[in-house]
Formats: sequence, structure tokens, C-alpha cells
Amino acid sequence: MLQSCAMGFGGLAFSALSNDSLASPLAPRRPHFTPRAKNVIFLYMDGGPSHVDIFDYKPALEKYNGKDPREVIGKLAPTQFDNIGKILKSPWEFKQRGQSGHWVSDLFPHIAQDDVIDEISMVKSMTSNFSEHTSANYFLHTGSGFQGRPSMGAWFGYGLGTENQNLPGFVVLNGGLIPPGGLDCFGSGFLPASYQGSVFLPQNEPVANIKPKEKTAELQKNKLSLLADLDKSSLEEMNFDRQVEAAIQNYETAYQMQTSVPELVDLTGESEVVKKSYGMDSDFKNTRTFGMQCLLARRLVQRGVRFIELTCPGGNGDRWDQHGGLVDGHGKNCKSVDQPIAALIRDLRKLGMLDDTLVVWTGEFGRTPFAQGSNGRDHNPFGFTTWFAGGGIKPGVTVGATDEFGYKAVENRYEIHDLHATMLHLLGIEHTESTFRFGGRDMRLTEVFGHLIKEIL
Amino acid sequence: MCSPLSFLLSVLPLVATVSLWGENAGRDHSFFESKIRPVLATKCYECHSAEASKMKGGLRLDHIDLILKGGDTGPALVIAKPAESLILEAIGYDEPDFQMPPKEKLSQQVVDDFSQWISEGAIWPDEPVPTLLSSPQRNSFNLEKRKSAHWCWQPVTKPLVPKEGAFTQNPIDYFIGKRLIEAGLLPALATDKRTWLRRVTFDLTGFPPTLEEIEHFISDESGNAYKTAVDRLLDSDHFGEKWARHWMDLVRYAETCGHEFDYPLENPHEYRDYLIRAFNADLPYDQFLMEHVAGDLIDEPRRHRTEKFNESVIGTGFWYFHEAVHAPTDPKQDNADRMESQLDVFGKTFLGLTIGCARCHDHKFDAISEKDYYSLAAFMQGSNRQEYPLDLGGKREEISNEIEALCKSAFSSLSSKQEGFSTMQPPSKYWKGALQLTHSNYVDTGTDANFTGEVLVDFENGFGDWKPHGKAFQKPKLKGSTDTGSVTGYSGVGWASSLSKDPKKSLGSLRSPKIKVEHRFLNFSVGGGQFNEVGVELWADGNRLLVARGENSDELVPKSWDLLDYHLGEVEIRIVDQATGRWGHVHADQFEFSPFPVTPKPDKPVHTVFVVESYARSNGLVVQTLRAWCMHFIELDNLQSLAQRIERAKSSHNGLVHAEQNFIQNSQSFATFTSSEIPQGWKITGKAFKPRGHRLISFAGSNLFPSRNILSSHVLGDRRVGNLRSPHFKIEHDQILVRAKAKKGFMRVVIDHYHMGKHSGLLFGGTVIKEANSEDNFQWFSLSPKKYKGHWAYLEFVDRGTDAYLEIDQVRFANSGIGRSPDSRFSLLLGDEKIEASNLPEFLDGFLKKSFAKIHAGKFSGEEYEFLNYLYSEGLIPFGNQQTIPERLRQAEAIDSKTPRERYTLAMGEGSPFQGNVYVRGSPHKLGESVVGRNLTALGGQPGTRLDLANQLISGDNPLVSRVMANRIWLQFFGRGIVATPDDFGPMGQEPSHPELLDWLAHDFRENDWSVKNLIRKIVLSKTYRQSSLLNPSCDKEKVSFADPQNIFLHKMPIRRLQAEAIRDSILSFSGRIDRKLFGPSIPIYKTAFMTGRGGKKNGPLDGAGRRSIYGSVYRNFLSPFMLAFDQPAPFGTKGKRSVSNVPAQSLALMNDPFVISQCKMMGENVFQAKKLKSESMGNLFEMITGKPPSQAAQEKLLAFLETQTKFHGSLTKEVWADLAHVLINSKGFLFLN
Repeated sequence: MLQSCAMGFGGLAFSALSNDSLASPLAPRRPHFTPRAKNVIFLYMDGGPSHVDIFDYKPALEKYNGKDPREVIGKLAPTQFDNIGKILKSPWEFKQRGQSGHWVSDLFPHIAQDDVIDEISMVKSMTSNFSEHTSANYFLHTGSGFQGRPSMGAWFGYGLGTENQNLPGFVVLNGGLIPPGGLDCFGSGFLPASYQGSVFLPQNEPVANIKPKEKTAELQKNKLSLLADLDKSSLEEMNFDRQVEAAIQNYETAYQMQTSVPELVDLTGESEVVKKSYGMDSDFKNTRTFGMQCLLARRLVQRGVRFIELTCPGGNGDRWDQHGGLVDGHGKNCKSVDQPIAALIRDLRKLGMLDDTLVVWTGEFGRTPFAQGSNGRDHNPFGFTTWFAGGGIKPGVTVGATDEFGYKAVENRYEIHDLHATMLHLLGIEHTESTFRFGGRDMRLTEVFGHLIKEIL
Repeated sequence: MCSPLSFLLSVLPLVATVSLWGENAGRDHSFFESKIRPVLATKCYECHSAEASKMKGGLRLDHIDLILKGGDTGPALVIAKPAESLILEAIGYDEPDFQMPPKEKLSQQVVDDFSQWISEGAIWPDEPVPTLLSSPQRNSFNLEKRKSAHWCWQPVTKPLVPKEGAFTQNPIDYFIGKRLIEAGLLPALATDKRTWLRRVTFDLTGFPPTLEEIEHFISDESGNAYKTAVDRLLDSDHFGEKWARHWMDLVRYAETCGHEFDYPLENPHEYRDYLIRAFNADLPYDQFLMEHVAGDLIDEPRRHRTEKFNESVIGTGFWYFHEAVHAPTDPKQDNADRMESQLDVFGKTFLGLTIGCARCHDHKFDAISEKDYYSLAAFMQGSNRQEYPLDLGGKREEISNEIEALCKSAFSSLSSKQEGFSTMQPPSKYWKGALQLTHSNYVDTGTDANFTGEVLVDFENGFGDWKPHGKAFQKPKLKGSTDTGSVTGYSGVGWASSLSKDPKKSLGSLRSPKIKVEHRFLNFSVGGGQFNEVGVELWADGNRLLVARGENSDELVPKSWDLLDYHLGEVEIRIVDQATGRWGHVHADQFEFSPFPVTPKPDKPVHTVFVVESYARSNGLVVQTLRAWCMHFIELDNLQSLAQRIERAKSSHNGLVHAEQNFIQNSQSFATFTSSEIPQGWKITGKAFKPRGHRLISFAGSNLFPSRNILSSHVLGDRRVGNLRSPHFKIEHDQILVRAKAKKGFMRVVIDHYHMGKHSGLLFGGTVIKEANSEDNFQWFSLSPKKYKGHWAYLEFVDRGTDAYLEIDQVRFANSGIGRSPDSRFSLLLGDEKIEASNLPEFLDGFLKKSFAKIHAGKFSGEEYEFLNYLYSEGLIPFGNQQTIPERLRQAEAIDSKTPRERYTLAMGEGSPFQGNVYVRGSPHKLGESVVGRNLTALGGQPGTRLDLANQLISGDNPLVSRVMANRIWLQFFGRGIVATPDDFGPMGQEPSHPELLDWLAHDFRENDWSVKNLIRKIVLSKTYRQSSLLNPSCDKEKVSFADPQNIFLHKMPIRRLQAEAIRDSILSFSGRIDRKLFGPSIPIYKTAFMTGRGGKKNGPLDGAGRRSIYGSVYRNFLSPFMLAFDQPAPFGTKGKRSVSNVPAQSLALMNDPFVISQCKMMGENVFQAKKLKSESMGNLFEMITGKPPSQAAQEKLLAFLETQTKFHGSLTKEVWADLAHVLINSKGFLFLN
């Protein structure tokens, strides 16, 4: 309890806060078993990248290009736009790369390089339950197609806490686009609000209300000093109520965040070589943006932030959602993320952090192997590619497969719940054991589902 | 004759079927053993055999008997019929949601093997059924046992309260005290008056007490001080605002649908305002529940006290605050998901039951079966969502009645001898007169037919003194110019034309100056479109007298007008284009006066008024009617022109009639509106839609005589609003065709209760017509639900008032559409073989003479009505008293114009009784047992209507409703319910800490007419609530720490953080910015830089216009970050107990949020302007924000702070005061209630 300690801000005399009962909900917690990784960087490719144009090479699409898919593939599930065109071969060339022999198209020249691609393991048989963005987004983020459930980042915070008490445990580095469904993709749902994602924007005030509005730091400090005095009396009057005490402590955290956040986003300490490797000198603005996001992600991992999600920059067509303009849209989207992601993986490895950091790349679903109209592809939740790097996974593995057209997963089919179960597992959490009682049920990120993707473990 | 082979093939399956198990012992099992059994064993038995650790779907595949018996979805295999065997469907991966094995599709070869095996009779060796290794885990569900075992299902008792004793003043204190005594604890001492007042003021109104209120309460030393304060607070309008918000947490109140585009919900604020009124008026909770569940079905709905509109129906809006997606590829699944949200909220909110858990299986813990769930879902399936028009002030009802009375009296007066049709001259006389007055007497001399007269204008060098209006005529067209197409027939090189590529520029006219007529004929040439809205017009004295048009041709042809009657008068010529589209233009050229016409039969303008009057007088005709006939004859489509081309018109009409009959033969009738009753199962809301009543005169536009074969939405005028809903049906055809007349009418087919088609046509294109228009003529409107065959649907028609209407004749289901309808106005004429050009005038005489008698007798046909209305709309009916109709029309308009503006609330409406099925494991594609709407088994399980359900819920037998609500009320005062899980009274929830108290409260609540305020008064006046938040000094601390560490027994008052709304509303009240206005549409939320993404709405003001937080918009995808930070719940489900989190976002918001900063600035300004003594200002500010004056020690610190800040700011400015206010807003003395 705080009864005896002097109070102050900026680490003046706020030292005696070690009492267990006051432990922050974000304090680090012991996992269920020895984890392989400590942190997650979740590269969210909002809109649904076309797996058959990037990783899932299907020669059959060349063979049947222009044919009616109903004749070639057979019965088709209803699509979002109900505007089914012809079988559409990929406009990009595919090659096998590295020791792993992963197929990668020309869209990802950096990730395709041997030292990067061989760190990656791909699940080519991922599926989702929803073919509409928002439901699929909620599903990918929360394990449920509806609003209001805790995001996976919140579940990690709930299960493990975080290493840095001056930064949130779940940070969303927003490249400019908030996925359909809005900020609730990153919410804490029925979990305590402490676990919700904090959105960092690439702007002067990266976190809401992080900049003091006082003209000088001292003016704010004066206020906080009086506040501390008054609160101390209030605390005494309220007989050292724990809730009140925690609320007082909260001001200390907030105060610290005011300095730790600007310090985090201040990249002056990073060398030009590093910045350049992330593409921060690129002639393409979105590469620069995503490069900065990737670099910030690395800096967040260095500061012990548990779960970092990156969303995509805007202006590349409608996210990855190329219902039309496939070549232009996917060209730009790939150009935005390719070099920065490759740099991130190399940088993490160089700094010895890759083993501790699980990198996940995925969309909420994939795209159809047949065209929507003539030059686009519709949503396809029946089979798409998700990949992993670092985090103690087995590198270079290919898991599962879609049918010969890339339409449906037919071999080792995995679903989003399996992705969640595996991510939790890699961080030492048994997904069936990490529950929260709400509305009469023990809720889980994986609902009543979830199998480990054993092939990459 | 049958070949031996085909005979063999046709009996083969039969043979296979009869040779059942046991008889196949001698058959070859090698195929089964090599190709089938290994696959079953390796791919299926993990989940579908005696060895399965957890049996999935109730299906075992380890013996053919069990395979044939099947699982939850029925038999897995039909012998010899692979196409009907579910097992093959599953392994074939045909349906996305039914694929086995789940991990990986079997190879095509294996699938083919199974197909072959089934075709050949699914041969299985004769072997015993393996016995289950573990005891069957399935279905240990015993509803009655569960019900009797769990406390919440037991009847509410009336616990005994002793009359004597320490705690008996208030029974609440007795029950609380009893538990404390049992635990060896003492209640805390009473808190001071200030603390109590702050506590109760926040709890009842969400505001802090003002300095005056504190002063008043402290100085009130009477024994009634507390009671007086409570009464004042309960009477405050802010009470309803505070308590409505608690309720909104339960029903996931929101104003948008969320998901990708965050489409708006319709007028959700009406529901919010309803709640505020209900809590302020202390609406008995049983009535409140009744209105939520079935407010639309109550016979005598509750009316707003002053505004008179139906309050009860607004309650049903809560069902529809669920999320909604804009393009569900599986609408049945989508409907099932929406129903889950509805039933989940319903169950938790009113019953404290997690009914939603029984969607996919019998409840894991509670006495709720899966069948119970689907029996409740049947109520949802059998109800419709609607926008219900609120009748403000009862005005619409009143006005409708007045107009209806007028319509009836108009009918009687028209049928009277003096005013009706009886005294008139027959129409043929008017026909003759009008013909005479509009047709030239000129006799063709066969002489000069050339343009040789006096040129008025020839458009060779501009428009001369003719002036363009609008943009249609810019300058004359010239021969060879590029944008005129292939126009011919003009004189010289230039002509006037409105032809343009840009349709927006093509409207307007070119007008001559006033011209004195000095020759007999005006000659000119004209071409272009054949519309009423285009042509060359002759005007005099503000009347249009004549029109000449092209014939949908770009060739200009000569025309002549005979201006004999206008000799020496003044006329004006206009070249007019008020139409767009392919032929929406006019060409004209070479206007000349001449003694000779250029055509053999020149047209003649309507006579001058003087001539018409004198003709009418000398022939005993009504002047006004004769003039109408003259005007009629210059219209493009008129009776005379019809008579001239009647044979052609008949043949084209017959063609259309024939096509229509064909269509009718090949389609299926869903409804016809020929009777004076609404067809069975159709539902009407509002005043617009009325079955015909033929004994009245309607004042709606051209619809004087309401047609026989229709259901009309404007019998009583265009301002009536309402909707019409069909019974539910199963879609079995490609199209739904509605024969109707419409103007801005809304119609749609609602499929699986999916209501978002009006926002996005993506997957529901063709199911909604937002604005149906048919130009005063019956037309077939087509809705195409083709993709949704087999789905559950109903039709909805909406008339949204002013300027909109729908008249529906019939609705048909068809697999093909129909083109143009026959022109309903002339069906009577064109369908009658006897009518010819020569006898048409006499036919009119007979028709009008008999019509009124036939109307009276109810023998007038729809075609006759149509024709009569046509005559009326053209002014051709010579009423006996020409003043009656205009006078009545004026009266009707005077009444109608008082109609208040339309206001709607989202509501439930009666649909059709639903007979459906359990969805096996929650999937709408796998139907199980049949269900009808009924109550939960554990609550009696009686079938009935939704209204019956509501009545059963509030009956004395129901142990849940009163307990759940009493517990909710209690929770708001102590931060914890007697049942700590207010939304879950089931076995997964917590047991009551004070079961007797809960029952006493529940019983008392019901006994006192379900009065919320009464219960609240008892609670806040109790000693329990008046306790200090500090431990009783005589109480042993150690003992407390193990006897009641969480203060569940309430040995002291818990300390609570203010809720989000209270924080924001207090800040607004401190700054004086608060606008205490009640009700109304919400204020858009202020969007920060972080609130981006799709479906963005209009940005709102930073301070929310000073309104209370309850009036801030709740956009699902753009929730207020400030409110969220302080735990206002996101609207996704019932949240009876808010979480109380402690996150840096809260501190950061109060430290740095621009809203907080701006309000503190205003506080500083206020203090500064008040110009009081420093110490007084300081004390007041402190007391205003924290509810008490600063202590001596605090005063010193505050003064020191003021000193320091004064140094910074130069003097004791408003900035210094703002700084102090800012500190106090952040202080825990403000943020917490003790």
C-alpha cells in the first residue's frame, strides 16, 4: 500500500509499488509451458491477398485460362459479388525459391530471396468461415464473426501480460487503413479494457492524448504534483481502497507513456543503413510507410511489447481487395510490404530476436481462381495461404494444399481457430486452458475448436 | 416392349434393398474390406465409432445398422442411392459447411469407391455392433431434473421479516443485518450528509449535486430531509436519463449496424427516448416487459401522455439493435445469427438466462433444450421488422377520420339529385361542342399550299426577337452542324431545335413576343418528339390553346393553325421542350402569317372564352366543363384522337390483354385485392393502406372514385403513411409481380428477414424497389428473388407520405416477367367490341348515366372505375353543381394540411404463425424436429402468440422476471448484484449472496405494482445504503479480512468509480456548457484522428453540443473513445454489469483530451468572471467538483498551487483557475463515489 511513500511523477519518488495486490493486469505472467517465442508481429494483409498470384502456384489456371469455371471446377459456392467470370491465370511469373523450394511469384522479389524465404513456413490450406470482410476480420482477430469479442492481442495480454509497463501490451501500428469492422477488431471485448489494442498512428501524436497540452512540461508537472497531494488525502479518506490506489498508479503509467511513446517513434537513433534496408528511402510512399511500421515493430519488440499488429497503408487500390484492377492493386500492395517485411526478418535475425518473435503474415481470406468481371478476383474463404517466420517454428515447411485450381483447401485443411491455437502454443499457452468466464460460459479465443498446426512445430 | 437389359436395371436397386443384412453372408466382401473399411477406420472412427473419445453429430460409422440409423441429421446412407446419401455429400466436399473428414478431402478415387459401394448395396459383413467403450456421453440432458436442482427456477417466496428488532425499520436492513450478524460483523456507521447526497444524486440522476442542493440538504434538519431529497431526485427528468442508459447496456443499444459500411439503423433514438419517458413515468415493469416483447400486439396500446402516439410499440425496437451485414452469401445462416443475437439479449435481459447457448445443442448446464431455443426463435421467424409511423398528437388518426367523413358525405351529396350526375347534359353534347369549337371550318380550296406568307421568323440569322428560356435553345441549328443528326425538312439553312447531347441542357423554351393576329393562318414546320411536354404551342391570355408536335421523327413537316377567332387579338408562340430522352426534343422553323394554310386541314385553337361561354349558354352546357373538353381535345392523347384510331388501339390493346392473360395463366396468384376485406394474413400498419370503400369520394389527385379492385394507400389523400405486409411464404418462383399504380412507392420482398437490401444491392439486387412510379396507370412491378428459392419471405409495401402512394391490384408468382400492361384507363373502351369511332360519344352518355347507380349497387367494375376517374381527371364529367367538388377538395386540403410531419420508430410487427424446425447443431441447412412458437419448457412451455408469451412471462408463476429486475436495480447502487452475474441466473452464474433479500425485493417489487421508483426509494433510504465506506471502528479488521474480504455482505458501502457518462456529464455541468434538453435525434460523435475506416459518418462537435452523454450517437464502428475508455460497453450483447477497468487511456484522456481541456478552460473563465475572493472561488470550485469543501491542509496546497501558477501566467488569470479545475477533474475525489 501507498500509505508511507512519498508521491511524485516522473519517477521522482514513486518507488514502493511492488505490492502484489496492486500488480498491474499487464504484469508479465508465467505461461502454461516453456514458450518458444515471447512476442508476435502480426502482419495483417487487409482485404484478402490473392494466394494464387503470390504463393500458391497453379499451372491448371494457365491451362484453363478463359474457360467457364463452372465447367472446369464444377459447382461453385456463392461469391460476395455474384459476378463470376472466367478462370483467370496469374499475370505474374512463379519460381521456386531457396532451399525450401517455396513457390513465390514476381510480386515478392525481396521476400523471395533465399535468406528470407527459407525462414518462412507456409500453410497453403488455411480457411475461414466468412466471405464478407467484416465478419472475416472479426473472425480472424477474435475467433468469432461478430463484434465485441476480445482480439487475439488482448488474449495474449490476458494470458501473458507484457514486459514493458510503460507501453501497452497490444499495439496496432496503423499504416493508414482500419480494417472493415473498425477499431473493434482490436478491442478487448469482455476482457478488461487493459488488454485492448492501442492504435499508433504515423503522425505527430501517435497515440491518442499522448501529448501534454500544457505549454511547458513544468506546467503539467505542477498540476500533477498537486494532484498527487490531493489524491494522497483522498486515498487516506477512503481507507486506502485498492481501486483508488490503482487509479492513482495509473497516472504514473500514463505519465511515463508520455515520454516512452515519443521515444519509441523517434527514429533518429537508427542508422541510415537500417532505415534504407526497410525501404524508408523508397520512391514509393507506401513502402516508406510500411517500412517505418516494420522498423517500429522491431523497436516495440525490443521494448517488450507482447503483440504488435501492422495494418496496411492506404491508396493501393481498395486494400488487398482487388475485385478489379488486380495487376495494379496487387502490384502496389506487394511493393508496399515486400521490402519492409524482408528487412524485418533479416533485422530480427541479425539482432538475435527472430527466435523469440513470431511473425505471421495473412489476410482474412484469399481470392477466387476465377475472375470477378474480367480483371479482378472475388473473396475466397475456402483456401488461402498464411505464413509464419521466426518464433521457434520449423522453417521452410509447406503445409497442406488447395485443389489444382487454388479454390478450396483439400489437403491438411486448417482453419482460423487452428492459427490461433498454434500462435498461443508457440508463446507457451494451451489454448483450451486460457479461458474467461463471461455470460455463463468459459470463453476461449478458439471457441470450442482449434488444433495445432503440428507440421510447423 | 421392354428389353431384358432395361428390365434388369430397373429392378436392380430393388433387389439390393431387399437383400438386407444377414442375407449377404455369402457375398464378396473384398471390395468393402479393401477399399471402404480401411478408409472408415483411419479417417472417420476418431469421431464416429465406439472408440471415439467424443462422438460427433451423434453418428457412428462402425456398423452398417448405425450408419443407416444415422446421426443428428438423419440417415447417413441410403442403400443403392449415392446421390441421396449424406455420407457421400460430406466426403464429396460439395457444401462448404458440410465437409468430412474436416481436415482433408479424400481423394476422388476414394469418393468414387464409396459411391460404387453404396450403389452396389453397401455390403457389410454380418458382424455384431461394437459396444461403446465409454459410457455414452451424449444426451444426459434431463430438463426437469435440472429445473428442480437449481435455485433460480424455484418460486419466489415471501420471506418473513420480524416486526421487532434492530434492523426492522427497513426490511432491507434486516436481511443485510442478519447476514452480518451471522458472520460476526457490524455494519458501518452512517456516512455524513454530504457524502450521502453526492452518492444518491449520482446514483439517481447521473449528475453531481449543485452547491445550492448541498447547502439546502445540509441545512434541512427536519426528519424528512433524506426522503425529501430522494423524492426530488426521483422526480427529476434526469432520473430517466440515468436509468435509461443502464437499460441500453442490456439491449446493446446502437444506432448503426456495424460491419463493413456501418449502415444506419432507423430512428433508434425513439427507443432511447421511450426508455427515458418510461423510467421517468415509473412505468410498471410488467407493462414495460409486455411492451418490449409484444408492444405491437397489445389491443389497447399505451399512449404518450401529451403526444398521444402509441408508446407500447416502441418497446419492440430492442429486438433489432443487432449487427447486420450488407452482403451475406448465406442468408439463412445470417438470419440464424441475427436470431441468436435477439434471443440471447431477450433471455439475458428479462430472464437472466443464457438461452443463446442452446442454439447448437441442449444447454450444457441449464434447463433449456435446443428445442426450447427454436420454439422461441419461431416467434422471431413469425414476426416482421417495420418502421412504425408514430401518430403525433393523435393528429393523423383525427385527420384521417375527418377526411373519411368528408369523403363519405361527398359521396352522398354527389348522389343527390341536385348535385350529382343526373341533371347534366349528356357528354355527347360536350363532345360535339368541343369538336365544333376546336376544328377549323376552312375548306380546302386546293390552291396555294406553299410558304409564301409574311415571315415572322425563319431562324436564318439567330432567334430574332424570340427569347430563349432555360438552356434548351442556345442558338439556331445550322445545316451540316455536327450535333443535329439527320434532320430534314427545314427551310433555308437554320432552324430552332432543342436537340442536344447533354440531356441536362435540353429543357427550356423559345418564346415569341406578343404578336397581333392580322392574318387568318399561321404556317410553320415542326418535328421531333411526340410528348405532351414538347412541341410548338399557341398561348393567349395565359392559356395554352393549341399544340403542334412532331411524330417522333427528325423530319420537319408543315403545319397550319386557323386563327380566325383570334383576329386582331394578341397571341404568343412557344417552342417548348420539357422532356428528356431519345425523343425529348423539338424542331421548328419558318413561322409565317398567311391568308392560306399550308396543310389541307389546319388545326384550330380553343376558342376565346367569350365564344365558349356563348356556345355553352345557347346549348345548355356548363361553361367550365365545355372548356375542359376543348382543352382535352388539344391534348396529345384525347378521346377524339382515340376514337379516330380506335381500331388500331383495340388491336394493340387486345395484344397486350392477350399477353397479360397468357401471363396470368402461366403464373400463380398470391393475392388479389378485390374484396372490401384485407386478404387473410396481410397486415397493415398506419393510416395509408385501406381496402377499397366504394361509397366515398377520394380527394387524392385523379383518384376521385376509389377503384374497386385495389388496396389503395391514398383513399384518404397522399399524406397518409403506413405499410402493408404480406403473409410469409416460401419462395418457389423466379419472380414476384405486383400489379399496381404507384408514385414513389416502396416495395420489397424480405427474404429470411434480411432487411439490408435497401442499403446494398450486392446480393439482393431486384428484391427492392425503392421508388415505384407508374404515371397514373396500372403496371406490373417485378421483384426477383430467383436466387432464393426455398427461402422464407414476405412482401412489404411502404407509403412514406406526402406525394407518395401505392394502389395494389394483385400479386402473382411467376417464372417469367411480363412486358407493358394494357392501358388501364381505356380498358373499358378498348375491350368493348361494340364501341366504334362513330358511337363513342353516345357510349359515354350511357356510361355516365348508369354509373352512379352501379357504384351504389357495388356493381361497378375496376375498368369502369378507371375510366370514370380518367374522365374526372380530365374534367370531362359535367357535374350538376360545378361548385361541390372544388369546395370539398378545398375543405379536404384544409384538413389535410394540418397533418404533422412523419416520424417513425423501429418496431416489430405481426407476421405469420411459424412452423419450422430445430436447426441441427445450429445449421439452418440441417433441419431437425419441428417446432412452433412457445415458451420455455421450464416456464410452462405453453404455445401461443408473442402476446401470450409476454403474458406468461409476467405471470406470478415466473420466478425469474421479478428477481432479475430487482437484482439489476440493486446492482446499480452497490456495484454488485445480490446475484453477482446479473445476466446469468443459471448454474454457470453465481448464487445469490442474500437469497431471502432477493426474494423479498422481488416480491415487494411485484406487490407494489412493479414500481421501479418504489423499489429504488426503499433501497436508497435504507441504512445499508447510508453506510459509510469506512469500516465500523468497532469491527475487527482481521475478522473482516477473512469473513467478508470482498464486502459481499455489505459491511460497508463499496467505493465506486463514476461511470463514463457521469464523468462527462459532470464536466459539462461544471463548465456550465451542459444543455439539459431532453430527447431528440442523437448528436454525431466527435471523430478523432484515430477513428477512420469505412462507413464514416458526419463529424460531431467536440463537446457533443453540450448534451448529456446519452444523446451522443452510438455508431458501432465509431464508438466514442472517451466513453469506451471509461467502460461504456460496445453494443454487442447484454451487459448488465459494466467492467471497471483501470487503463492509462483514462488518465491520458483526463490529462490531455481536448474536450477536457476546453471544458476546464470554461470553468476557469467562469471562476474568473465571478470575481469573488480568491479563497471563496477556490473553495467553491473544489466543492463543486468533489462535493465537499477543501480541508485546512488541502486549502494550503491549493493556495500554494495558485501562487505557483500565477507566477507562470503572470497574474491570477482565468488560465490559473483553469489549471486548478483541471487538477480537480483528475482528482480521485471527483472520480470516485465513497
